[in-house]
Amino acid sequence: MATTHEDTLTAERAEPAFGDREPLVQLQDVKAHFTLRRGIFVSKAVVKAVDGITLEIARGETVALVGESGSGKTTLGRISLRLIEPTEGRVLFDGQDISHVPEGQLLRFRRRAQAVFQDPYASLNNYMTVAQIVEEPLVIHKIGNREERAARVREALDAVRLRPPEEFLSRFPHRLSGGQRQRVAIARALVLDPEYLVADEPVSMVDASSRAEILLVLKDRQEDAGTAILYITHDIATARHFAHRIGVMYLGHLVELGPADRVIDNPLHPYTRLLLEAVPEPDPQNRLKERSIIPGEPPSPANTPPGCPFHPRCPEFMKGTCEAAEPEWKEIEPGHFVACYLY
Amino acid sequence: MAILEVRDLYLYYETPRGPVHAVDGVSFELPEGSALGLVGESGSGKTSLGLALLRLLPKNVDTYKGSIRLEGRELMELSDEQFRREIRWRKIAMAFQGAMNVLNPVVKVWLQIAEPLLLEKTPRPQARARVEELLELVGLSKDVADRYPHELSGGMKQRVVLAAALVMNPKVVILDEPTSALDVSIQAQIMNLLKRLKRELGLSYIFITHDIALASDLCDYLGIAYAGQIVELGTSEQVLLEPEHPYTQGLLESIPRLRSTRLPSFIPGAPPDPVDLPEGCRFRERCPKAFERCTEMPPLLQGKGAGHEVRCWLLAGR
Repeated sequence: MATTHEDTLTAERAEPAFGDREPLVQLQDVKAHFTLRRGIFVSKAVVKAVDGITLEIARGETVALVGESGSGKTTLGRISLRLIEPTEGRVLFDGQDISHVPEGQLLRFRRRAQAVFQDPYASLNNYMTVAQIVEEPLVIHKIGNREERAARVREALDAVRLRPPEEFLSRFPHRLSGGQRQRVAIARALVLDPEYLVADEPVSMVDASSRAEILLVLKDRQEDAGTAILYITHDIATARHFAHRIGVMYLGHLVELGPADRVIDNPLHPYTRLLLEAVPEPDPQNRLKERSIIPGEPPSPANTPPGCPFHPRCPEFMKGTCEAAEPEWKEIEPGHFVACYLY
Repeated sequence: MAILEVRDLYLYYETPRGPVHAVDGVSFELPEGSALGLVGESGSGKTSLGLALLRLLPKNVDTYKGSIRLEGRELMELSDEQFRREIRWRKIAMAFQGAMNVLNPVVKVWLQIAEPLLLEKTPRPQARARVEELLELVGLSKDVADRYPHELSGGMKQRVVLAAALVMNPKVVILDEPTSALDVSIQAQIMNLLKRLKRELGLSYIFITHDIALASDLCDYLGIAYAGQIVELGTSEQVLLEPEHPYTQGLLESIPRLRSTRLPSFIPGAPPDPVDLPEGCRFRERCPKAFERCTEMPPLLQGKGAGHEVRCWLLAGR
């Protein structure tokens, strides 16, 4: 394990992730292990939600984390926001180690890093107007006077294409569509001008016809303000279009990481390949054939297999190798890494 | 031959603000052994349509009318009692959305699947045998019968929900978002299972979904729903390859394609308030091609030939 991560670091130093820009967010071999009580007298189980991940996100860069439920992508996003303290490893933000800084000293970081979550029906207070919801972070962080705040709220609503903003200011969330609600949630995150944004499945509960609009809002914002974005999704097709790099997660491990186009056009890990084949595209020929499937179901992170975490489901499984030890993290083409014994 | 023929079906709900036009004059035919996908976004009325077909109506129904013919027999003339005894689960069954919440957490799987059998006093050993047969049919082992839902994964629960829908040997199965809560890898497994069941049991499906790509994986015919109406109807080839309605076109363009570098687009705005629908075409406020006539009069579903129907003034020869 130790050598693996040293390799990663040297490789990334040699080939900066995103141009020559300094990484804003650095996750260094982070782990999040939770103990799970199985019963009163029964031994505790350890859930390895995130099990040794190294990842950097540069200013102006979007990194997509793709994976199925239980892959640890949400936990990793939360670690990067310090909503979860890592069990091991370090989290650096703008060069500063925030891994174990007490919450009371994180106020400035909380202003610079923001999040948008999956469910716009749960994340907005139904008893507050759109104006109050978007203004709240400014009030909490004591930014501006009343007029300045009102102006920033209008700007934020305009940025998320809730136009004209005046029409939305006094509305309550229940009178908005799912897509409009999610844009209010994004406006609330953007009103603080964050340098780092974690978008955790921001469009999975939004109608298909409105998804691209929301992702384009984030992309525009990034181009204007140089925001670093961690885009967490199960939808690898949107990741292709809206992220610079894609990281594929499986059971708490990063199994592949590379430029978005390369991961899609030249997938290296067998899991990535199967994931890509499982994506349905609208084609009337589909119904005439069987979908290719990934056999079995993802095992629980409370019971991870030894060696490569994917080996029990892998069509390329090599007995004696894959289950013996974890594969090393290797760079196969510039910036494109994989952890698999095939390489 | 069509196993199910729906003509001018209406289902309105009563609310303090006025009636909600959930299903607003829907007509289609479902040929025996085929699958019709009803694709629509939130508020399009697609789930209400499923409930209307099964006559599972909430208390606040304002209007429920039209014609539903199953194998030529008019179902709207049946009393509720007749419908319950002869049609629901026996001829038309439904696998509900969100397998996680449909199953009763404190009842063993087999009793949940066997419920309609036990209600009609089938002896327990026979009911049990039928359940085991169904579990195998949906790709589960027999010993799932004695488990509780929380012991099963999401994919297994979805298979149980399917087995429960099939218990009375229905001819038509309404599938309401059967895979929306599942991971893509499990989704593919369930879609393959649905294909196999359709082939082996000769089932006819109505597949309700918001995901047109997923619908293309199973459906021979597609109906695109918008604000309570079907705006485009045809074979999967017609709707996917020659979409005529601007909404269908927009929906297809909004899907991010894995193998293309073209950015997906979006349809601006939001669907209309179902209590306060705009005059004329219901899509016109979001339509890039709207013109005067769209404001003046609602377009009708017009045949374009070969069964392809479109509700749009662009097809009326401008």
